Amino acid sequence: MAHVTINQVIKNYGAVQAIKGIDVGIEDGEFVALVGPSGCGKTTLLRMIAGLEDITGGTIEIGGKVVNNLQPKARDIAMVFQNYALYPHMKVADNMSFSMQLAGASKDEIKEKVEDAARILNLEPYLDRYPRELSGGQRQRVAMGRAIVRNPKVFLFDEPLSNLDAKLRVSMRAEIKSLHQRLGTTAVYVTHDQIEAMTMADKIVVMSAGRIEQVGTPLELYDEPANLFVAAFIGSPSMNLLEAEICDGGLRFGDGTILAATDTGEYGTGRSVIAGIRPDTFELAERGLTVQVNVTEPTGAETQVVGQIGDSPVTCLMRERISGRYGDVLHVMPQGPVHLFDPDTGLRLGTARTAAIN
Amino acid sequence: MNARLTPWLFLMPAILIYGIFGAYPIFQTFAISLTDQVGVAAPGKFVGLQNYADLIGDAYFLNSLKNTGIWVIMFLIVPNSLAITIALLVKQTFWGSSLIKTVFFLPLALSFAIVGVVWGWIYEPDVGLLDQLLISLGLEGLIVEWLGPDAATYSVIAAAAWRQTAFATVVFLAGLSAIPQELIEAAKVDGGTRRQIFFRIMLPLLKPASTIAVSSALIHALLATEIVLTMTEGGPFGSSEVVGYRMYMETFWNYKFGYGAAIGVIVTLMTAIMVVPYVLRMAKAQERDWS
Repeated sequence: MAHVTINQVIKNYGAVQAIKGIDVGIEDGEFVALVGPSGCGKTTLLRMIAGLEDITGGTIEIGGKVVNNLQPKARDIAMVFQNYALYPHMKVADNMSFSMQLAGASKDEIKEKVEDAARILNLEPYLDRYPRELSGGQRQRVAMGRAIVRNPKVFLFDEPLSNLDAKLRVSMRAEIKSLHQRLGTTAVYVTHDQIEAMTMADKIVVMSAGRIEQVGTPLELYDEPANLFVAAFIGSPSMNLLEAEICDGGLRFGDGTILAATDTGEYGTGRSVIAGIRPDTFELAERGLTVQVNVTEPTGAETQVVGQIGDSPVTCLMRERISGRYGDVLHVMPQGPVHLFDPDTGLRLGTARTAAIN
Repeated sequence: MNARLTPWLFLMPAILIYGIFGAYPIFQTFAISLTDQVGVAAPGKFVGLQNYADLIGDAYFLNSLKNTGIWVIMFLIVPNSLAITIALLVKQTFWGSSLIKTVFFLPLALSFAIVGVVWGWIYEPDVGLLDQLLISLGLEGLIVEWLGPDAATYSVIAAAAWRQTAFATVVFLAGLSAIPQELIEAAKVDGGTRRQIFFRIMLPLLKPASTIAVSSALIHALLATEIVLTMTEGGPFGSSEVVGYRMYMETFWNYKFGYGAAIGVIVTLMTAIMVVPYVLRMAKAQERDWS
C-alpha cells in the first residue's frame, strides 16, 4: 500500500505533447479513476505509472520514492490489462503465480497465495484450466487474481471491463469495488465510461487533451462541475447546456422565456451565459421553457424527450409517460440547480435556482 | 445427395492428386527396392531385402548417412538460432529496418542449387571472397581448404544454412508479430527480465512458427542433394556425400534402380520418424495456445 504522487508529468511523442504537465495526488488506499474521452492521455498516464512508457518530464512517486527510471518490475505494481493479457500457454494457477515464480517464491507459498486469491475470486474450480477454456468474465477474474497474488503497492486497471457484456460489466464493477474495499490497496483505474468512474471511485480525475479538467469525488463533479467539459462529460444523459442571458432578476432563455432566478445579480444584466441543467431535473409545467419535441424515447421507468429550446438541443428525462412526436411542444421547468458557465472560458460561474414568472 | 458421401466427394480431388503423385510413388519405390532392377528397360527380379542388407555393408552409404546426421544436427541449431536472433533484432521498426529485412530475406529467392554455385565461388581457394576477406583482415591463419576433405561437409552446410536462415527469419518474424504486445507488457509488470520473458513467454508462443522452421530444417537437411551436387559433387573422395546424393548417384549414374530405391525408402522412413511426431505434437500445443 502506498500513495502515488504525479508531479508536473509530461509526455511527448515526437512533436506531439500527449500529456501536458499533470499533477495528481493519490492517497494511500484510495481508488482513483482516470476518466476522459479517447485520446485524452489517461491510458498513457497509467502506463507511465506502470513503467511501460517513458516519462518525458516531471516525476512520479510511488510510496514516496521517485520511480521515473525504475523498470516496471521494480515498482511493485500490478496491472490488469484491457484484453486481460493472460498467458495462453499457462494454466490459470500458473498465470496467477507467474510473478511469484519469477521472484523465486517457494512452491508452498505460491500454492497458498494462489489458493487465497482463487477463493476470493471464486476461481477455485478453474485453477487447472487454460485461459481459452474460460469465459470472458472468468478471464477477467484471473487477470485480477494475477494482480492480487502479487500483493502490490498499487493496482493499475486499464479499462478492464470494456470487453465484457453490459450485464457482466455491472456485476464486475461491484465486485472490483468490494474487492478494493476489502484489500484496501491503492488503485488507479482508467476508463472512458463515466458511470464506471462515478460508481467505483473515491476520487475522479477528468482528463481531456492531455490536461486535467477537474479532480474531485464523484458527487463533487456531479454537483459542481468546474467547466463545460466536465459538465457535459459527467452524468448520463449529459447535462443540457442552454444559451441564456442574465436579465433583471432572472434568466432569459433562447426561446424567449424568462425565468426568475436566484444568485444571478452579481453577473450583471445582459451578460450571456451557458445554463447547465441536468435532464432529470426538468418537470412538466403549465408554463416554463418551451421544448420543441424531436423524439420521445420510452425506457419504462422514464421517458427521454429529445428536442430543442430555442436553438439549443435539449434532453429531458421525465417520470411521466409522454408520447410526443416530432413538432409537438412541451413546457418544462427546471426544478434543480441551474449551473451557470462563462460561454467564452467555459468556466463555472455559480449555481442559480429558477422559478416561473407569473 | 448422400450426406455420408458428400464430404468424400469434396476430398476426392486432393486424395486423387496425393494418391497419384504422393502415395503411389512411395509404394512403387518400395516395390522397386525389393528388386535388382537396373535402368528402366526391364523390371528386375525379386531379391527380397537383399538391397537393404547390402546397404548395411556399404561404406559409401554409411559415410553419407553420417554426413546426413551432421546436416540434421547443424541444420536444426544454426539457422534457427540465428534466425530467431535476427528476428528479435529487426522486429522493431527503425530507420532502414525494411532495407535490412530485405537483405536478410534475399537468399530465399535463390534455389539451393544456385546457392551452391555462388558459395562455390566464395569458397574458391585464394581468389574466393572468403579467403580474400580473411587475407585483408590479416587472418590468413584461419584459411583452410574450405571444400577439402575435412571441411567440405561443414562448408556446404554453412552455405545451405545461409538460405535456411533467411527462410526461418521470415517465419519467426511473422511469429513474433503474432504475439500480443500486452502479453510482453504483462510479463514485464510481473517482474520478468528480458531473458525470462523470452524463454517463458515468447518462445512458447512461437511454437507455430518454430514448428514450421524446425520441420523445414529437418526436411531440407534429410533431403539435401542439389547443393551438394553443385558445390562438391559429394567430394572430394565422397567426403561430403549425403544420403540424398547417394540415392541420386546409385540410381541415375550407376543405374542401380533397385539399390537407389532402397536408399529412398530409408530416407522416407527417417523423415517420417523425425518430422511427423514433431508436427503432430506441435499442432496439439498450437491448438491449445492459439484458439
